[in-house]
Amino acid sequence: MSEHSRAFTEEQLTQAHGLVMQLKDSINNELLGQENAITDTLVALLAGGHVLVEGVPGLGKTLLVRCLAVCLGGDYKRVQFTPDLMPSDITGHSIYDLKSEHFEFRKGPVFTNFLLADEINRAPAKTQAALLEAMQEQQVTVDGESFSIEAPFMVLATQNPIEQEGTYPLPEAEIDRFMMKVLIDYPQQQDEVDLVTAVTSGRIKESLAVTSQANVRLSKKNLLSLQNLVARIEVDQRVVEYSVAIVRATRGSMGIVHGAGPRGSISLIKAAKARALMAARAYVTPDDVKQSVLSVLRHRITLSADFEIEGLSNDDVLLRLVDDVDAPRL
Amino acid sequence: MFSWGVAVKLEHINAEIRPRSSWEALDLGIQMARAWYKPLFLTWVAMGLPVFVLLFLLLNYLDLSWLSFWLVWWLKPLFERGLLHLLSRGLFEQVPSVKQTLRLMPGLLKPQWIAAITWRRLSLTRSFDLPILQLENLKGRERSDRLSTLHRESMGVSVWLTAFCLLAEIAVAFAIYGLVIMLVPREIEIDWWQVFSSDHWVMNGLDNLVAFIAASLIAPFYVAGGFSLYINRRSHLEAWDVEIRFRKIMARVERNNLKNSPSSGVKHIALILLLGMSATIFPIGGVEGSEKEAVTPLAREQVLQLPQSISKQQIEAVLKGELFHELTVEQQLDLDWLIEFFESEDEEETVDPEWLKTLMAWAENLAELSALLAGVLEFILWGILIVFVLIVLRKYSDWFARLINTSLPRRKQEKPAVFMFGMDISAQSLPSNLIEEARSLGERGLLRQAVSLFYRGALSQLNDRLIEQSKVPLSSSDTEGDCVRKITAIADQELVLFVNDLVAHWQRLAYGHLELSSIEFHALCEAWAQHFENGAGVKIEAGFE
Repeated sequence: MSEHSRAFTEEQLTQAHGLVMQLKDSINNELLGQENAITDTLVALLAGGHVLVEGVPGLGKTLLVRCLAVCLGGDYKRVQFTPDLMPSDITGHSIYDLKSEHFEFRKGPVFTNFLLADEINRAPAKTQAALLEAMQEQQVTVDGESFSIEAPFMVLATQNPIEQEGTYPLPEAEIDRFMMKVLIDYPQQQDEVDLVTAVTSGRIKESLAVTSQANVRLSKKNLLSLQNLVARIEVDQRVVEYSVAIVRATRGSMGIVHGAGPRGSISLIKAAKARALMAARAYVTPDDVKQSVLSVLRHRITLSADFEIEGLSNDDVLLRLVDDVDAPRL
Repeated sequence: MFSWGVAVKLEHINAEIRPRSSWEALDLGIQMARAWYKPLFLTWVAMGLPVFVLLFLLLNYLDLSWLSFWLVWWLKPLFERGLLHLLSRGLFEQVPSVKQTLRLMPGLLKPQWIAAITWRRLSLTRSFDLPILQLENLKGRERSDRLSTLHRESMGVSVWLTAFCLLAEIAVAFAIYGLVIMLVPREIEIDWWQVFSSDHWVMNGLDNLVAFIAASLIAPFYVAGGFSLYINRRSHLEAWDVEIRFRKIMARVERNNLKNSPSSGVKHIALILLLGMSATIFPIGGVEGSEKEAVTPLAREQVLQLPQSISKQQIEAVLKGELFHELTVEQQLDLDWLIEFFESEDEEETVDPEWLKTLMAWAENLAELSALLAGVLEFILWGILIVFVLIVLRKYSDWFARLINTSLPRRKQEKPAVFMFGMDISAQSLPSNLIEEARSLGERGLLRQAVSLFYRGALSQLNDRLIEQSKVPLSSSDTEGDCVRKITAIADQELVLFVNDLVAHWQRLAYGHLELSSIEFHALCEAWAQHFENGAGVKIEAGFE
C-alpha cells in the first residue's frame, strides 16, 4: 500500500498510537471498570477539548482527572466549586504592590495545564462564566489586560446528577464549550470485585492518591505533538457531511427543544479524528463519528418536557436519531 | 291508542309539563333519574347482576370469562325496560317498588325483544325509541310511522345522550381503577400494567365487574333522558300542557261547585265547552283511559285505519277547496292609524321629494358598503382563524404527533438496503462474473472501483443471508463497522476475518485515499473467490454457522 501525500509517516502514527495506548493502560490500572469514560476523556485530551464528567459520588471522577494529570506530567490544579466562590478566585486578581507601587496580577488556578473544576454546578453562574474565555480562547482578561494560558490546557469539570439542591445548572454557553460530557457509571461486577480487591490489598490507595504505577508517560511536548498529529488526520468530505447531518438532525427532531449548534459538528469531527488515532488509522471513518455521537452531543440537546416526563434520556433520543441518518455515501 | 299498561292520568303527573327544548327535556330526565335513583339503580342491579354472575361462571368454565360483560352489555336494552316501566309509573302515578317491577318483567320484555337485541341494538337513539316500542305497543307500519314522527325532532339530542352516556361509562370505569390505584399505599410496589393486562380469570372477573358497575351507575340517566325526550316530544305534538291546564281548571271548578252552591252552572257549562273545544283542537289523544272523556276526540286508530286512497282523496279535496286558499289574519296589531297616516301622505304628495331620494340612495350605498365591509371582515376573520389554527398546529406539532404516534420517533422499519454508501448492492446491479470484472478493473488501475465491486458483492450476498438468518438486514444508517458487527453474529470466524480485511481495504481506499498494491489486490481476489460465489445474487452456503 503506497502512502498518499501526508504530513506524517506511518511510523509516526504507530509511535503516537503506542504512546496513547500506554497512557490509556496506565489510567486503566488506576481507575478500574471505567474504560469507556477513560477512552472518552483521552479522546477529548487528544482533540484539545474540555470534558464535563458526570456521575454519582464515589465512582472515581476526581481520580480520573488526577490520574490524567499525573500521567501527563503537566501542572494540575483543583478548584472545589462552592456557592461563595468568586470569579477572581478562578481567574486571579490584581493586587497593589507597595514596593513597586504598581498593581500586579496574581494568577488564579486557571493558569495551569489541567484544571479540575470539582462540582462545577455548585458555584453561581457568574463564577462558572469566569471559565468561558479561558475554555474558548485559552486566555484570561483581567482589568482589560489579557493573559494567555500555556498549552496544553484542559478543563475537566465534574458534576453530580443526583444532588440537585443548592446547585446552579450550567448555562448553555458554557455547556457548549465542553467538547464532551462523559458519564461515569457503576462498574461491572467483575470490575468492582477487582477494584475492591485492589483497594483492600493496598495496591490502590483509598485516599485517591495516585500510585507510583501511574508513571509519567508523556511530556507536555509529546502531548502537544499528539494533538498536532490528530489535527492532521485525514477526513473525507463525505464524513464531514455525515457528522453535520447528524447534528442537523438534532435540530428538527421531535422531542428535542434545542438541538446542537455548529460547535457540535466541529467537536464531532475532532473527536472522530482522535478516535482514528487511537485505532492507529490516519483517516477518519464514519464509525469514528458514530462512536463519538453520544459523548459529544448528549449535553448539547434539550429534550422537550413530555420526553423528560416519560423518562427518556438524551442518549435514548440520540441513538434513535443516528439510526435515521444515512451513513456516508461514497 | 298508546298503551301505558294502565291508564295515564295527565292531571296526576309528577312533573311540570310544558313545551321544552330538547336539551331542557334532557335536564328534566336527569332530574328524574336523580329523584328516583335508588329504585332505578336497584332495579337495574336486580336484573343485571344475576345475569352477569351466571354468564361469568359459565364463560369462565369455557375459558371465555372476558366475554361476560360484553354479553351483559349486549343485553342492556332488555334490562332498561324495567327502568322505563319504573319511570313511566313514577311520572304519572307512584313509583313502583323493585319487587313489583321485577314481577312485571316477563310482560315488559315481550314486545320487540328480538329486535331490541339484534337490529335495534346498535341504534344511537335507543333510549328515545324505547318508550315507543315498550309503551305504545304499536306494530308494523304504525310503529315505523310513529318513530318517524317522533324522530323529526329530538333525534340529534338522543344521539348525543347515547354518546355522553357511553363516555361517562368509560370515565366511571377509569375512575374506579384510579381509585383502587390511589388507595394502595406507595410502599407497595405493583406493576399495574402487568396486573391490568393479565389474562388471569380473577382479573378478567374484576375488569368485567368494574365495567358492569360503571354501566349500572349510568343506565338510570340514560333511560330517564330518553324517556323525558319522548315525553317532551309528545307534549309538543299533542299539547299536553294545555290539556293538563284545562283539566286542572275543571277540577278546581268542580271542587268549588262541591263546596259552594250549584248556582254557578253557567260557568261550569262554559268550562266544559272550553275543554271540549281544546280536545277538538288537539284531536290526537295522549291520555288513554282517562277517567272522564268530556268529548269524544277523533280516535287515532280511526285515522290510521282509513284506507290510503280515501286519505289521499280527502287531502286532495282539502287542497282544492276554497278554504285552503283563503288567507286570514287571525292576529293583527292595531296599525290602522299608521296605514291612514301613510295613505294621507300619499294623497298629499304623490312624488317623493328630492331630499328623500338622496337620502334613500345614500342609505342604499351605505348598506352596500356595509355589506362589502362585512364580507371583507368575514374574510379577514376566517383568515385569522386559519392562521391561528396553523400556528397552534405548528407550535404543538410535537404534542399532536405524540398524541397520534408513540412516545419516540419510531425507528425506521428496517428494510433490506438496496443502496448502501451510495452503492447499489442489489443482485441485479452486479456483473455475472464479478471476479473477472474486478480483475479487469484492477488491471486498468481502477483499484477503487474493483474493491468497491468486491465490497458490494459481499454485502449483497451477506445481506440476503442476514435476512434469512437473523431477520436484521443491513440498513442505510449502518456504517462499515455496523455491517461487520451484524455479519459477525451469523458468520464463522474465517469469513469474519475476511470481511474485516475487505472492509479495512475498502475504508483505506474510500476514506483514507490510500492506494492498494497489486499484491494485496490479487490476494483479495483470491480470498473473495474462496468465500463467495462468483455470481450476482447467488447465496453462499458454506462459511455460515
